[in-house]
Amino acid sequence: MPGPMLEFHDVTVAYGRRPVLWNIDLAVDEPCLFGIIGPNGAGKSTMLKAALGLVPLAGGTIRFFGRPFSEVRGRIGYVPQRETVDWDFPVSVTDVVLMGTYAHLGWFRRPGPRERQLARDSLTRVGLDDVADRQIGRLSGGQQQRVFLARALAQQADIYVLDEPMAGVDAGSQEQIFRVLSDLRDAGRLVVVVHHDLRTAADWFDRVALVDMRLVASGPTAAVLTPENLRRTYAGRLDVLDELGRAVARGERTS
Amino acid sequence: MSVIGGLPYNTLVVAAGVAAVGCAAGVIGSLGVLRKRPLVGDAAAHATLVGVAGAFLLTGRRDLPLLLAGALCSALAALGVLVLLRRWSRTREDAATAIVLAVSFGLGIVTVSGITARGIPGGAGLEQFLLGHTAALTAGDAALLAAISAGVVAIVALALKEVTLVAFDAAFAAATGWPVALIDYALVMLVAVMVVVGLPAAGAVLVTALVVIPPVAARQWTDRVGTMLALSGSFGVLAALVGVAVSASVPRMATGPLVVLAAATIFAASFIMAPGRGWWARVRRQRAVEQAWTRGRLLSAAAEAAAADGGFSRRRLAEVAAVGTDAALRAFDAAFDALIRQSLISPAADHGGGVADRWRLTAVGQEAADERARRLSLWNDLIASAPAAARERLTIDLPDPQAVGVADGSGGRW
Amino acid sequence: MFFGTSKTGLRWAAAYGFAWAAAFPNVESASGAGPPTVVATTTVVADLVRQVGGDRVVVDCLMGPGIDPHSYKATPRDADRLSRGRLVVASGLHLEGKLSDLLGRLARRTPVTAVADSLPREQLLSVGNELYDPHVWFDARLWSRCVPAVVTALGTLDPDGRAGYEARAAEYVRRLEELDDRLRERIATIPERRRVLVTAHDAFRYFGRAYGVEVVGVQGTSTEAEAGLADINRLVDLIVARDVPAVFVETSVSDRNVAALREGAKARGRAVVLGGRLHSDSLGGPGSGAETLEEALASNVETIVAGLAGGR
Repeated sequence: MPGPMLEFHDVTVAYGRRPVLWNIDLAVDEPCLFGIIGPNGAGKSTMLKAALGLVPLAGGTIRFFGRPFSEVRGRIGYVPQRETVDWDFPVSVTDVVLMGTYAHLGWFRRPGPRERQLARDSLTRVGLDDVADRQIGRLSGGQQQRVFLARALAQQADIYVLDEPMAGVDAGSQEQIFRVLSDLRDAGRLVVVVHHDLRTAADWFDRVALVDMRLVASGPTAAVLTPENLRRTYAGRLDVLDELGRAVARGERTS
Repeated sequence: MSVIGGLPYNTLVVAAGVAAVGCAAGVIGSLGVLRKRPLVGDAAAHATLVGVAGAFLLTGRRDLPLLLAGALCSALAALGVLVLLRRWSRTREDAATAIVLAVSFGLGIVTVSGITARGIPGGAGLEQFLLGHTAALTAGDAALLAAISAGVVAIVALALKEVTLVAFDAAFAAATGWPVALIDYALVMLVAVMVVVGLPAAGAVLVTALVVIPPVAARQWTDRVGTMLALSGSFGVLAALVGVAVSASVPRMATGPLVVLAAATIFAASFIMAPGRGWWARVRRQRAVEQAWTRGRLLSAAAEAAAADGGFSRRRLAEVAAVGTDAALRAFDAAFDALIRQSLISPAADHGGGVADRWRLTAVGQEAADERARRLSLWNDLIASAPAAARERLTIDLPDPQAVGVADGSGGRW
Repeated sequence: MFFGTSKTGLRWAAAYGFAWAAAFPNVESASGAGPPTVVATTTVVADLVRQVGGDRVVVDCLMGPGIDPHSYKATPRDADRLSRGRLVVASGLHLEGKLSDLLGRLARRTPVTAVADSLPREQLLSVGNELYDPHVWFDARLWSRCVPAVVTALGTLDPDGRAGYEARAAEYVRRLEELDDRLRERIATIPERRRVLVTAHDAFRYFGRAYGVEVVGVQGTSTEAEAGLADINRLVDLIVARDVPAVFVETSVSDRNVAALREGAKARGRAVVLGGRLHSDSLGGPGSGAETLEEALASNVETIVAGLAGGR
């Protein structure tokens, strides 16, 4: 029987001698919308990068479906942060989305009609089909984020891993992206999102993990986002915290 | 067949050889430019000297294949060091390239000086190797260049999607299982081979220039990678042919530098003239945008003034349009004349006495002003109710909101 | 030569070369008491000084056989050798193009004589811009007119030996004049229409003027300028039009340009032979049969005669 969809076991990551992640233990068994929340510099992005083999682990293991990442690459879709890319690069929106299909194609084969159809479908799902041929530099922030999302969709993965997909994106686009992610969850995928905004986190995610170098708490959203946990994670780094914590505890929608 | 179309044999041979180098250099250079490593070719070219000198020292002979083999070894070694420097230390790209270039070239110079100082027979002028002898290409040289160039271009065409992916988003490539380091090494090796093979024929300066200039020129004309590569190769060929043609017509002009100059001219022309990204196109677009906006504002102001008392004077209009500075006044005058030319405003019937400065909106002008007001009001509503969608579709020439698919406040198809 | 290529970036030789050149030992000039050391720049000049100086001087030659004087750059070790000489003799007329600064500075402390500079300008071939072709040693009689400059320099350095220098000089001049006549006879055995000498660079203009040969080089008077395609084409046309049977390469210059000429001619149906290797800017080394100027000139002429007169 395959293991949990995603499992961190005693994971420690260091940049040089300074630890960034310390003894993280975490398991997600079922498809859900899973948020990784914490203050700046807490190591949230590092958790994703470590899972994808982009930074080395000082200790511990990370498993997808009980197997290491290298064995199940084709089943993991990755949406990186927007700044990692040169937006002046001469590719169109469709070109970028097609890149999601390359891993399945293998060496030297060109994308064919099947891949192009898949790209078109992905673009429709994120609402970008009218800019399909536009060079990527001529898109708005929200559109750029959606291109990366469409690329991940084209990977047809079982687990999606997104690094701050809502950063610098206006509220309307955020809603739209969130709806796509919910659809993925409803279709049986696990969607792991590193997220920066507490308010929307309370609304959107089924389960969250509060991280500040160590794992403070993880589980269903309402149970985890208590004032006590928030205080332990943010430790005075957020003034609006108490207000928020109380509001969350009362179960109010903090639009 | 000794001549084609009346052209001398040597001209044809040189043209064929340099064109082949130009094509392959343009293609492989495009990848270097996209991968943000345009100076790799330069580093490789400078690193060949120590290999050439070393090969001579080891064997005492100056056979061309031997020297080329030495050149290739040292070029690969230097580029290997460059890649490692980047991965394992925190040296920046440009600093690492400069270091490798300087050190390897210095080593080469020292070795050559040592050979000369010892008076080793046959050791004179090894550094001339770096300069090449473009005009003296033989048919054998040209054939070798053509074969290697074809090979390089074929490899790039075969692996185009892999190298584009790695150049665009190396992190995503790595995460999806592509061996990024391997692809990088392979690219670097292709550059080294190109440079080494091009050296005796074309010289170090020519090869490195052809690896950088045509790709940057090509980028001005297109937003697609495939087109950019093809265009870059074509520019390389064009520069080669022009340089060779000029060199063949004018005595005492070295061929290599002329090819570089031709490439530079192509770049300058592209930079200025390319539609879209070119400097002239951007200037014209900017001016058109400003003019459209000024005229639109003026039209609305005219409608406002006309609504007040049926006609308006030029001076009154300037006040309404709030023209303050000299530059604004010039823009106002130009826009006013444009409105007259477009028959949106016309002189009102003379009410007698003197030079009348009295104007009115024509029927067409009134329609245009009404339409503008309608669109403005719709956009203002949209910006308030659905700012994201509005921002994506609104442009300064005020399109019709309905025409660009932003219906009343609902914002897009979602 | 409008677009000559120059070797940029080789100024680093000074910095790096200093450390390394010291590791490459070379001929040490004799120091201290004993015959004075005269440093000569090229092998041709060294030969001249030896002929006049005989046993009374030790000659240290800066550039060895096969080295191209047009492009030779001095290392700090060379500067050292030059400054240890009691007299420096150069060829002159910018043959040692890259040494002129060094020699200029040296002249303040050590006597420096440029032998060809002493020749009257009417006897020289101009290359424009008040510059003259420096390859004067190919005309034996003209070269003999450089001998007095050497006699004067050696006589000033070593007045006791002056009589000997003058005697040896007179003998050498006589030998050069005899050589001049002999060479002229040999060249005359080539049918007139065949007397076209095609070489790698324009080193042989004095030779051509003195002995009645039409001389054409691919590169110009200096090897520093890269050959242009128009020049190559022009030469191929000439070779074909005049039915030249052989072309010649040089010991101190790359063969590539000449190879291209032969291929161009072959494409037009003329099989042009490689006539042989001529000594141009440098004499040969020990055992080459061309260690002195007399030997080198004689050897060159035999090679030329064999190439042009023989065959078709």
